[in-house]
Amino acid sequence: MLVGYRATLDSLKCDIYAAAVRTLANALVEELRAALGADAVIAEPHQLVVYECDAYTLERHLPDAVVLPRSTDEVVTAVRIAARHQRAIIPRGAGTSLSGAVLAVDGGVVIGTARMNRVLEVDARNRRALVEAGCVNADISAAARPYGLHFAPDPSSQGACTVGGNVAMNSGGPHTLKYGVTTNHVLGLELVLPDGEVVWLGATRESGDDVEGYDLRGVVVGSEGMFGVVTRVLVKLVPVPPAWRTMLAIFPGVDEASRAVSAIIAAGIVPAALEMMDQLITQAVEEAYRFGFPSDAGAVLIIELDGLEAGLERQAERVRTLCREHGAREVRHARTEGERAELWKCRKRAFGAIGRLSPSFLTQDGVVPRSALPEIMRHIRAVSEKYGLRIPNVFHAGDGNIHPLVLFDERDPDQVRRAVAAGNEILEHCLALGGSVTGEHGIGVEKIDFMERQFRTADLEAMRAVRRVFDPVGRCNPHKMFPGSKRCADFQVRKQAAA
Amino acid sequence: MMQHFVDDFVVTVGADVRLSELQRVLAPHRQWLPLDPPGDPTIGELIEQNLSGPRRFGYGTVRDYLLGIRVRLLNGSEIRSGGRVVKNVAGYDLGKLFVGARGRLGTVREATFKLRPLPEAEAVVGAELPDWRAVAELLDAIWRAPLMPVVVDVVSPRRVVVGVAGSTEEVAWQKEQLAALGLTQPATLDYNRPLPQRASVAPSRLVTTLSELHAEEFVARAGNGWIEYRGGRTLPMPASAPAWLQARLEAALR
Repeated sequence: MLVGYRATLDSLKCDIYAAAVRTLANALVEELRAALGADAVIAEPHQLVVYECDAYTLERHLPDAVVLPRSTDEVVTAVRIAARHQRAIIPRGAGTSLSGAVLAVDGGVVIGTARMNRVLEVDARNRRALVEAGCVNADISAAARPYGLHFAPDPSSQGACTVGGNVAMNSGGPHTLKYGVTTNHVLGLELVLPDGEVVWLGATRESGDDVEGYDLRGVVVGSEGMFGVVTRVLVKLVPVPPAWRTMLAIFPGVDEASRAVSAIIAAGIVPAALEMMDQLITQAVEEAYRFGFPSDAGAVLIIELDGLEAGLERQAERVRTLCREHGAREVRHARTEGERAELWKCRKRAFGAIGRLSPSFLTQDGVVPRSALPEIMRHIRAVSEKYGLRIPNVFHAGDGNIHPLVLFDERDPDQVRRAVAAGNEILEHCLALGGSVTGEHGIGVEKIDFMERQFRTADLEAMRAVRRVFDPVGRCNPHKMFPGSKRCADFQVRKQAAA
Repeated sequence: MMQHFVDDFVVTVGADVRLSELQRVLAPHRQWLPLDPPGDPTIGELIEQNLSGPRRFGYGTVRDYLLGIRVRLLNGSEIRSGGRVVKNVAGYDLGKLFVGARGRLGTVREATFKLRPLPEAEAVVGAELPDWRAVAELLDAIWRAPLMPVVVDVVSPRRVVVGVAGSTEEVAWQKEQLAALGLTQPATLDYNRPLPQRASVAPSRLVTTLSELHAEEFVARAGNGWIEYRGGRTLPMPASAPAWLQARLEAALR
């Protein structure tokens, strides 16, 4: 009932309400400090600013407090205190989400997992690792490397993002083309429900890969932190492929490169990764990192094959031939592990190079059937011209997962309006082509309005019902995912401007 | 009822279609759904019983290929989840809930799968071993070798079966490696038949478990810790979640 009432508040009341809550929050903060120690609780406004948003910066809001527990028990303590005060809890890893998934829309207690960052066990014999939720993605592979194993999901933010965040968002990365996304690599997990109950879901250290019963672990992965706080994860490790061929194919334009992607896939080759960068992004990356990309290339593909050495060269030759047949003017290859790492560093830091092109950018994340790549790339060009905004592209081409980066200047309201409209128009077209509005960044607060486009009422009702299984009162990471969620004052203004 | 998006390596298929029928349609395009359960289940049975076969070590299981699903819930409403693109995180991943649910949450009507290219070549080799210790040693040697097998099975009474797949070169090279480990006998997967009982143990405990099981017949997926068997002891099957939480899920979707 209270939730329904809040939803009816207009933007002004929203602010007043927030101020009143702040006073009440003092009691909450005191109780958290008493239970967890002063150093585990952040509540000073100037410190809370760090937690006002994630990597989606168009909407911001301060939580009442941030707690940094050291153990599952401390998470339980914090969750129970927040429950008594009827405040929202918002699980947070490294805050690298791109859809506002950890935004404290209505305040509440952010549960940060930064201090729960250990690899608890590498079980090389069973090819598994037990890690705490705050463990950084890349740290798992670093711990597994001495055994010739690694954790396959490799989002570009892997040096910072946490496995808990990966679980929440079902994160992908370049190499998920062959190896799958986070859900394919999570065997089991420990979850603190919003009432403080601790449950283990999925396979255990003692079991095999399959267990009997409903796969609740499977639905927690990708639930965007709305089912509870993930505290420990049992992940699958896979052997580091003994051999690789990493190629850089240079094309006159995006059209040719897109057709080459389709041809490689259709030829029955499963590359480990197949990434595209268009001319704008290639130039920016070249300026930033001096890799040696030709500045006049219309598009480049990074193609990685891996596996056993036997037969790999023949497959690489086939890829080179297909690239040339589709207009590649040159296909280079990484000769050493160092060159290969350098190439991937450029790709993974591409977003960072955008600062050279524009003061602000909106990262979009849509998916189309792979065969529709040429069509969606043409559409993006048309949208770019229509709105008078540059839209560089760097994306997981093999998956049909596009990342148009809409460049704009945040200080110019008209540009903000155009950027949002351009992004939306691209996503509309992804849906029209049979795709999805998000391949890996999630719905969060950013794409709530698209949920009713992609799903029907019955589908959304089923999702809401499943959420209530874990969180009957909707206190964990509220105001995300579902249409009708509350938004705060300044966002309403911007939405109007964008309309 | 089938729609094959050939260039996308994606297929949408009705629940009553048999797996063999699906594979027959895909094969001329050098594609397949890389799931090989015993018998010839329908797509509905494949999903609802989460069936798998010998090649699961290399290719994974139903949940790894299911992109989208259409289900009729027990309350009569029909829902869809996912879609027909290979990467998609819009909304919760409800499809996972119906994999292995044995129809208790609803009836699967249609599913969309991602597909894989048919391997250029495949080879299966085996060895009969005198005792469990030899089985354990051979498995350890396989795990240590630089191989990428798709099948690593232990079959009653004490046979180890290994399958490799991929390009002709990688299959030939791996066959040599396996021969060096004593796996020289050509073998088949003809032991892939339905067995009534199931057990799940950490792969490292597999051989010990099998040696104490006293089953009349078994097949065990050594890399997955999955045993299907008949007769012998009844092993407890670990649960995927606390019973009360599973009951809540049943109530929520009713």
